[in-house]
Amino acid sequence: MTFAGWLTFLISTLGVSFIFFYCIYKVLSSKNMKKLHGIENTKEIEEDK
Amino acid sequence: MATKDNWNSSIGVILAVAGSAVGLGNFLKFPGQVAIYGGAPFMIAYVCSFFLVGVPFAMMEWSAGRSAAGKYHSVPWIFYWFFRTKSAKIMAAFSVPIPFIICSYYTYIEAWCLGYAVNFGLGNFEFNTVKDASDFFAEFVGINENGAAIGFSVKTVCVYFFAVFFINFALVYLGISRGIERFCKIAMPLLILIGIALIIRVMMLTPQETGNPNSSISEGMGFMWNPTKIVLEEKSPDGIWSETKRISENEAMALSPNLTENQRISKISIFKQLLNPAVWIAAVGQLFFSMSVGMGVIISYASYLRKRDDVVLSCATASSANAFCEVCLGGMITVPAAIAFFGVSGVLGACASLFDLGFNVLPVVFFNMPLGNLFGFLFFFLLFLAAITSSISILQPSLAFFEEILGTSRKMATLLLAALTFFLCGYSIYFSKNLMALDTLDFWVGQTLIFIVASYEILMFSWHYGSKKMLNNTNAYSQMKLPKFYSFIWKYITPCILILVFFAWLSKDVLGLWGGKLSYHITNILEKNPISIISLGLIFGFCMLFLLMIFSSKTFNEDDK
Repeated sequence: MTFAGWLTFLISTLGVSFIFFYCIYKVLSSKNMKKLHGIENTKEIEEDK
Repeated sequence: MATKDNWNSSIGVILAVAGSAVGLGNFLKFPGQVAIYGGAPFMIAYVCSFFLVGVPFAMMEWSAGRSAAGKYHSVPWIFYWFFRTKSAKIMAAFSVPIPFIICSYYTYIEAWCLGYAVNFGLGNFEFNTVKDASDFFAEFVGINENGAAIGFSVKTVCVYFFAVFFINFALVYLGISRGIERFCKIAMPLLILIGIALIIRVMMLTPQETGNPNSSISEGMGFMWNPTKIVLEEKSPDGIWSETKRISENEAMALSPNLTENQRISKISIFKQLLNPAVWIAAVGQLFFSMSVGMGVIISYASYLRKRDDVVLSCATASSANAFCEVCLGGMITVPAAIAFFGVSGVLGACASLFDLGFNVLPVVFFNMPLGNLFGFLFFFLLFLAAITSSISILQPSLAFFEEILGTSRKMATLLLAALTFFLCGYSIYFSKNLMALDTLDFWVGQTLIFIVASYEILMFSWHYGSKKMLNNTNAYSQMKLPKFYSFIWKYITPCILILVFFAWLSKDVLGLWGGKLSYHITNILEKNPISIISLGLIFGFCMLFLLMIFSSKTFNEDDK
């Protein structure tokens, strides 16, 4: 693999990995992780269309 | 219409949507596309397509699904609820058969993966050459004649098909949280761990292990990722130079002293490759099909969210998970390993399709490496996990449709969908000669119809419903806000690129215009090939059936204020 090939490979894989793990971190550190309860949940629905 | 089933957690729905997107294409088609078009140019086109087509489309579907949360879960209702036009009902009827027709042949391919995993695990394989592997594959899936796939041994696909069919419908029957979410929470991390283990094994392959001193993992990686493409060109009697095949640096050095006057080796720069429209068409196509957009899956899945769930972060995570599996896992396993064993010419010569790479070349690669049965089992089990997380998602939109249009329970809807899908699966499995039924259904539904419905979807959401309204809906309750120019992307950029690519593909690869070749699917219809006619008849029949169901449904046609 040439130097340019390594550059392409590293930018692609590290870039994608960074975005993916950053998003996972944001999801797992989000405060809004409470469980859903199907029937009660329907009362929260708003007409926001 | 309220739902009694919802996702239990944000990570659950993200893993489910990621599972829906991550499929065989991530591990077989993507590396092949990178190898054909060159690493850097294809990745540039891929990244542009990711941000301008893939993510905007997915974001739109997430937002639309969440907006309908608690009301509807199937595409026809959601389309009609948003657009309130007759065209919405008609297009909805065409959108319903897409997922379960795709599922009918996808479960067949899934059975291949499971079958190969089991046979590798049992040590049943003896593949010394690609011919050994292709002979086994032909017998296993029944390529040589119709009906040949029907049989009940570990070396025929039928047994694995029944197992796969049962697992799919059992998971779907259990529901969103108890079935799909719970399964994806185990399957997706397991898939990534297996992928990492395979990468470590492949990256440590040595020429002693591959038995090919003329090739290596480095050559395989270079073939995929080097920006400059090296090709062998030949001059025709008219004096026109044309590309014969792509070769590696080592092969170029070996061939150089032996070139005839009608041959030459050329290096094509990244800039010239980027000017080739085929690179962009391939990248958009790869991303579009890879992210499972346009099938109603994301809309249906998102309709089980709460109104206050964050769709921007969820969409970004699921989309990046798909890209991670594609670029980081898929890009480092299949093609480098194949080239390390066979060299570039060997791989390109043996691979006419992604099935050739996955089921003819790679089994030989794994069989011949140390602890090959273990790694072969892991690879095909990884493919099986990727396939099943996709197939269970593909069933969900159709299931939701039957629940809502028939007003029936999930149990009855599952049984009905199982019966229909089993019939179609049987069609694909029985007419297995040259995989014709599978290929024909995939062309008309998995490529053509899906593009038509997706084009309608993006145009209606961005123009009829309104891209600014869509932006406000999407940003509601989201940690990360989409910028205002996203409205412009939805309204102009994404539809233009999608429709341009569709017409370019249709004109060149289907109708044979602009120097392209008339697709054999069109030729088959003109020659009245029975499988082509029956397949089109089935597709048309299902579309008409669902159209009738939609237009005659009382609940569907009531005014909803």
